[in-house]
Amino acid sequence: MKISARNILKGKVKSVKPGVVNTEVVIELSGGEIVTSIITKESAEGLSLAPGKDVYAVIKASNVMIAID
Amino acid sequence: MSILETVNLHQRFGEHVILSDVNLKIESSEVFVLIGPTGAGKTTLLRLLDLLDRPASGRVYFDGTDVTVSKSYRQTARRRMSFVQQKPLVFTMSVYDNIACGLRWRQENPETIRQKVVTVMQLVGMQDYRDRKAKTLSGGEMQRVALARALVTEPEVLLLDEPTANLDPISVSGVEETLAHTIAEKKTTIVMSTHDMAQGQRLADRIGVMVNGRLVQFGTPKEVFIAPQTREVAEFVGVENILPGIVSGRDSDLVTIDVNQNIIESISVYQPGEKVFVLIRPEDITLMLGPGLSSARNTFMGKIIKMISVEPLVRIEIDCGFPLLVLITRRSSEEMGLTIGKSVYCSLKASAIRVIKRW
Repeated sequence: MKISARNILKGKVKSVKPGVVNTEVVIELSGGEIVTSIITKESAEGLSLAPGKDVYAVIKASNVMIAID
Repeated sequence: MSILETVNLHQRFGEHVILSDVNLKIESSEVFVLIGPTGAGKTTLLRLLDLLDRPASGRVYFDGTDVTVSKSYRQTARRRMSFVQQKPLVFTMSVYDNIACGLRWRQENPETIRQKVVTVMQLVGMQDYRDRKAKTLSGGEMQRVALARALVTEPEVLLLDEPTANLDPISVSGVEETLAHTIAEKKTTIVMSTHDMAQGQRLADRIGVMVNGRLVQFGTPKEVFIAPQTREVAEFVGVENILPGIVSGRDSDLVTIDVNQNIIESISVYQPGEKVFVLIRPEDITLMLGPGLSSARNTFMGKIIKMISVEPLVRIEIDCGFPLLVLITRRSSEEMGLTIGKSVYCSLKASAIRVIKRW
């Protein structure tokens, strides 16, 4: 699907931790890097997220911070 | 103890109320930036803080002393502050003499004056203009002389009224570099007004937003820009999608809001039936050519009605049953083949939406 976000990172769900309103989803990318996402509990359930599921982490360029040592 | 404090400060000119009930505490070494539209009362407040004007009512405390009660208290406090006005004031004399005059008034010895003036001329980049008549300088150069004259007396509090208004970008960055140096090296308390939000974000420890003579919100730059508390503040800090709606449902902290018969989901404290404004930043919206399946709680279909290039981005206005302004990169726009009239899906997370009360 065509999407305007510049960063679309393919990975697998590593863990799903539901909270009261939000759920923390940890995604492991193919190189082993970890991306953590906070989404609503409803969305996590709606997408049937569970460890091992293939997903994409979608990040707009304007939301990427850059830091240096 | 605060270095500067105002209590219930009011100012009026004739029948015209300029400031209402301003309560402000500024801590030592703090950089406090007043932002707000023209005519909001920023200059009036700075003039009261510098004790140039007397308030209609209310108190000003400098270093714990109520300086509204006595002329001698005011004079003592004013010697510990410097004020740089929006229109730089220079005297008909050389750059060197302009900068030195505050020290001469304080009867410092000539060698100390020479050392301090030379140091501060270098700081503001005016060392090559030492003997130039100050009146022949450009606006940016005059502002640097005015800033140097304020800094040379090593004030505890530096008040600046729109110090970079009407200056070219190079002069703006010169003034900002000088201020950044003063903040880092001298720990001077700075109270500055600006209508340039980005400048406020760059320099401030804390921001106060003034609208119609009132201080309507305080906070760190992040707090003010991410979480404006009123529609006026939201407009001023660049939230371009401000949609009136009514809370229609609630499940835990997740609320649904009816905006022109479209449902928007957000995380909020408001209850069903309450009137609200939905605030959405254009850069938080992602566009898709199909509905897709994602974790974003909000997806609206709409038609592109306007596109304006603001390199390297494109501002896209979309009619979703309500107007939505979206900011994406030009590259994404080209890759998706976006044109006026094309149908798109606008997607955004519930957590990217801020909801404020509508009265």
